[in-house]
Amino acid sequence: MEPRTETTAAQWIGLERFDPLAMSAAGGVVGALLLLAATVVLLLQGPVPGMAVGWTLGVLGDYLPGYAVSWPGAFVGAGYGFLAGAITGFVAALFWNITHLVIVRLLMLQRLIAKI
Amino acid sequence: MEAQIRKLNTRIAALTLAVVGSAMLFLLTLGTLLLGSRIGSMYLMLLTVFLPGYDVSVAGAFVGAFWGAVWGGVAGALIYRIYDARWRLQDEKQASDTSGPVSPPFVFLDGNALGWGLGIVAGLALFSATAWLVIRGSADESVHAALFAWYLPGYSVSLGGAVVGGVEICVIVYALSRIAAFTYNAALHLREGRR
Repeated sequence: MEPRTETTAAQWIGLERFDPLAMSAAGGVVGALLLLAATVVLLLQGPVPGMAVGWTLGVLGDYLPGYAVSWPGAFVGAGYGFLAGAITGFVAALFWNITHLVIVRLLMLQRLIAKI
Repeated sequence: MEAQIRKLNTRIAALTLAVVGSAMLFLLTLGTLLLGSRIGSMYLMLLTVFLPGYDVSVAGAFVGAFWGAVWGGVAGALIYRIYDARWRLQDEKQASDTSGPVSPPFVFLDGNALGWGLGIVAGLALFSATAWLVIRGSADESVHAALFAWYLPGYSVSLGGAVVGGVEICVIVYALSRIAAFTYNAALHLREGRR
């Protein structure tokens, strides 16, 4: 194998990017697991005397219609968690790729100008 | 060249998480205002302890965006550096191999390195947030922070509790990172196979 030249190195930087769809799948799975587990852990521990189960986490219901600290709510929350995680993963991967592309193009332009 | 790439990726990671952190705090604040959630506002106001000048208002959303960018940027740079160091340490051959066609269209994630990066940063974040509450003398009043004990057995708003909580959150985030990396790589394999 030939050693990497400057040009191929630049290409390598350019190609070191994330797949936004795969990243959204990863973000979605983690988001869903996170909200599902957060709700289930509280449900399994049961209520504190004089307080409803997961009163604080239940505030999420203000943002996510249908969510509550209950068994059905845990699955509704998992759905929302998947959506939020998927969007975050997709946007983060896309932003990383765009930034990478812009910086690599700038570096190559800089190198081209230096050669001239 | 390797050092240049590392520097470049550190900057990009910092910038990416800065934008994500900033957008999240901005949208969360504006969303709370639009929905008129009083309890949501009350909880968001707890952030003023860590984000000076923050408030649940339109102006506060911009202050929040600024702090989100600062903390996101610091976290992004740290996560990438730890990821990179760990990845190199466990796979010297892979890291030093600068020859040949190592240019897949998309990179695969190393679950172990990602787990170390995200886990350590999450552990440090919980430890320093708790330590800050102890240092400023509001540990006894920090009833909301104490709620972490529901998820992290042994955690309390004290220096000892901060260490226990920091280690526990590090383990949890490590496990979640492994799941994230596995899912990402599996999805990528699937998509690459279809091409």
